[in-house]
Amino acid sequence: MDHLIKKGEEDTTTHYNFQVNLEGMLDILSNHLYKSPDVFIRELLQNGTDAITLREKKQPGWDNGNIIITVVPGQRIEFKDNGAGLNEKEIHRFLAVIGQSSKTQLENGHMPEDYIGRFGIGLLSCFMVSDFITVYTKPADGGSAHVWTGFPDGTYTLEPYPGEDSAGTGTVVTLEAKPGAEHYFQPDKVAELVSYYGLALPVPVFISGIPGCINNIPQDFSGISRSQLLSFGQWLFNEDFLDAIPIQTPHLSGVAYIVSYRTDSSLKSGHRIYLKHMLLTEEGHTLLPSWAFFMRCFLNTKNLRPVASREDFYEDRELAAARNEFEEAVRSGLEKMAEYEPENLQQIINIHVQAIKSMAVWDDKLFDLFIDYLPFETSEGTLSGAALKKYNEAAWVSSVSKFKQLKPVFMSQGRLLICTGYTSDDELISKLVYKYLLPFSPLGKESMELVLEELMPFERKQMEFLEKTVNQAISGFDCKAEIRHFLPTDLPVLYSISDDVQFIRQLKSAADVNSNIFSEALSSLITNVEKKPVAILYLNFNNPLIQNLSVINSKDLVLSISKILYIQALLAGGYPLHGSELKIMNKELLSLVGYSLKTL
Amino acid sequence: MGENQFDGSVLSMIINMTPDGKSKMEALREYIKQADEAGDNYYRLYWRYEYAYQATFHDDPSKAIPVAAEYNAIVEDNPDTLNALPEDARAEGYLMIVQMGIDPVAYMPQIPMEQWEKMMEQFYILVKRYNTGLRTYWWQMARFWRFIDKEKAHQYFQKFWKTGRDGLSDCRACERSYAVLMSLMAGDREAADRYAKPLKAGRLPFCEDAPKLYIYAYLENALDSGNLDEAQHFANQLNWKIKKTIQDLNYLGAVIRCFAYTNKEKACEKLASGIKNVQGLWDQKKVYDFYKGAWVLFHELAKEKETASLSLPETFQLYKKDGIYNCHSLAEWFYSQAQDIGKRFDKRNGSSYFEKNLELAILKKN
Repeated sequence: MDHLIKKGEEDTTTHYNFQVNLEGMLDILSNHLYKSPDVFIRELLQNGTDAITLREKKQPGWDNGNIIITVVPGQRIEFKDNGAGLNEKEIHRFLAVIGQSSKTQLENGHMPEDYIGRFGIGLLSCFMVSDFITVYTKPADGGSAHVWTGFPDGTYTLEPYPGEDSAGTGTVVTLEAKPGAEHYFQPDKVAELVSYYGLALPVPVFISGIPGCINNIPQDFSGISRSQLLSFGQWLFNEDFLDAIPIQTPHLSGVAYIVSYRTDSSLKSGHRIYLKHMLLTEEGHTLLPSWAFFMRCFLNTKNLRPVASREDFYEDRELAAARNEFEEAVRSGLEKMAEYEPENLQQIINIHVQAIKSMAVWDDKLFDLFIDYLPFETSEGTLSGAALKKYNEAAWVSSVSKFKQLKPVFMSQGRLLICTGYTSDDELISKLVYKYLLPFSPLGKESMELVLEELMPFERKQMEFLEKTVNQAISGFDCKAEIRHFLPTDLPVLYSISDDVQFIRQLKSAADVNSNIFSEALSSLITNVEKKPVAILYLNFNNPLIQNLSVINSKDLVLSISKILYIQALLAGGYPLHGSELKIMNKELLSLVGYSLKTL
Repeated sequence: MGENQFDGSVLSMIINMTPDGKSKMEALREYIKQADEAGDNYYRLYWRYEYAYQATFHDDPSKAIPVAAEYNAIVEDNPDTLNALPEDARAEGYLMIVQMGIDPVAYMPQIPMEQWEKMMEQFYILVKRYNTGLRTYWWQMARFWRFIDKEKAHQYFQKFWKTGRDGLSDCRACERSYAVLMSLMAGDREAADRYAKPLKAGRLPFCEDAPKLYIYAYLENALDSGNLDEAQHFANQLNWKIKKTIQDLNYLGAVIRCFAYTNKEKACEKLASGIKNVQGLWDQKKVYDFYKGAWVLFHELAKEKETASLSLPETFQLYKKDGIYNCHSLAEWFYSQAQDIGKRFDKRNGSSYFEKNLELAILKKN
């Protein structure tokens, strides 16, 4: 690398600085970094709060910090904090250099926890709504006041404040509405944004013309009554909640509200998550577990790092710890509910069963807590986990359509069949069986044998010819026939299919239609199956039709009827027919009609 | 108006409330049948697309193939069918489902390479016809070729990266994750870190898969190079993000492989939770990754004890009622399964990628 200057050599290279196009930067900020121009309020609140924190540090005992916002509707916003202010040197350093923040000086190698901002680009966001920014500032530790005016072309002016510094100690940022941004310069809008972004701020914020402080909320929610928590949630999220779980952990402070209606598992937004008292995000996917979709959370976090846009958290160990704390706090809240307000818990389960089931799959403690209340679809109707524990024998099947097909068989036999085809149910039933040593088993081939009774030797002999003939009839469908006893008697045949057979049926259906791109791949998939899965057609020995069929002497007639029974079983099971099956059904029905006419 | 008249909008409302995965796919299969019977072209296409999407992102991606084939046939037989869809969904929806049908072929060794090449030729014709999807085409090429010829795969990757994004492109975070994967594969850690930087800093919005994909790439790379500290860091991150779904099986395999060295108890829990999903899976890459992790786990456990108590499902080939398994036997079994799948891949691809990959599975201590 000969272009690099070695130590001791004369440096004849001319050095240049990068030129930053501030207008381009603003475009990046407004169109790519920030989601909306209204973040300028967040940035101003952040700077004001940090200035007050700095003054509190410099002047121990001083605790009169506040922020006062004056709005001239549609025209101007004056944002005043009575914090530390800046002297002339600091103005040049912090207001004029992008990326320089007065808060980025590390303390013992770490960012001071009590400051919110750190990137030194926040003030630039004001250019999204104003063509210039005027900053009046007077340092709290003495020194004169100055007025700094910045423009979006990258220039700024600085002059001593003329006359008396009537605005007092601290900083006043003045913005003039640029065309198109007037709607941000309305008292109600500013109040809404302050309440949105700065609700959790420890510094009181006042807006001229609006009585009282905008952000008067508790810093610790653990000692607050349930009804007060619910009223706060109603005010904050504008909806009534079923319940509220206070969260107070080393990283988190706030409330997890349980919504009163069924929600979609893809819903990850609608929270209010603050970092060091300033709104960071409404999205919960980084901090909250996937099952939290039935909650709306108001959380103030600390010791976590934001990403540059301040709209999400940085992935690190602290974040992992915060996640664990959240899970633990919710679990403990629900445990208390189970103990003291079980009817509230049952109501929550009734509405949010899906979310709770997915929680219980992962978490053993939650599983123990909830399993007795969780509902499962069975051949006896919906049964809770507690009810299932009382059964001495049961089988479960992980396909809803197979469950529907087998339900009448199990009902007639007085046996219990559990449907685990719905999300999380398979895992939960397996876990229930394992933990409580229940004599339940999945409905495999062996369990089918229990449901479908074997024939006696003489019965088998009686049905030998029929079984052989039906097998001959349906061998081309990757299906074999077996004759058993089962209930109900009026069910002549039962088609049993595994997931693999189901998929192969789908492949064959697709191969029936002419598809240029996929036709070869489909035939490879169908022909290259190593062990061809086979479906089973069970014929019911108890059924009169099957009994009659077993005594027919005409092999051709039995072959015809067998094919029709196979297709009827498919239709009864809701399986779409392949083209070849449709053709066979037409052919066999016609031959059956022909046979009937001949015998008239 | 008959009582049982088909009403796709009502069924759509029901399907939107159905949880993702197996139950949704069962319902969609039924709805496809109803739409076919009713001859409603919009829903014939729409639900096939939804089914392929469910298969790709919430179940076994191979199950997207038959519905993609049917969609392709419906449109090619009568191109006017596409007019049933909103204008912006016609070309992109069509190419997307075809892509979802081709995508799993890379992970199904029973489909010969020549057939995959023919499919890609046909896909390229569609790309040209609809003037969209070229970037996706190059990525598909890179993705398949990484198992055959790293250099060629990297060339395809570069074409992918240089081609402009369009409506068919994956999310930016996913694309960056691919870039991380390809750079690590090429041994260029610096480039991988550069691509990963905005992902790590959260400067890009993520789809559900993107963070897992790039963390997985780093995790495999750390394990392959024997850097257990780094692997542990990524395994913890990945462990937080993965769900107990078929979709996440390959990620789970990598996490088990790392926990085999750092937290055997947790690795056993993970194995028990995932093994049910492996059975009957057509996507052989997911099975391979899971079995590879399982092999490493029992290889390491066998060094410490003879047997392990595990809650494995009855459907597991070596299932034991008492739950007591011989670690050495399990290690052998998982190894032979992974090796067998790897051999079938290598035979199909005419390469030795999987053979070498399996050789790297046991950690080389730094």
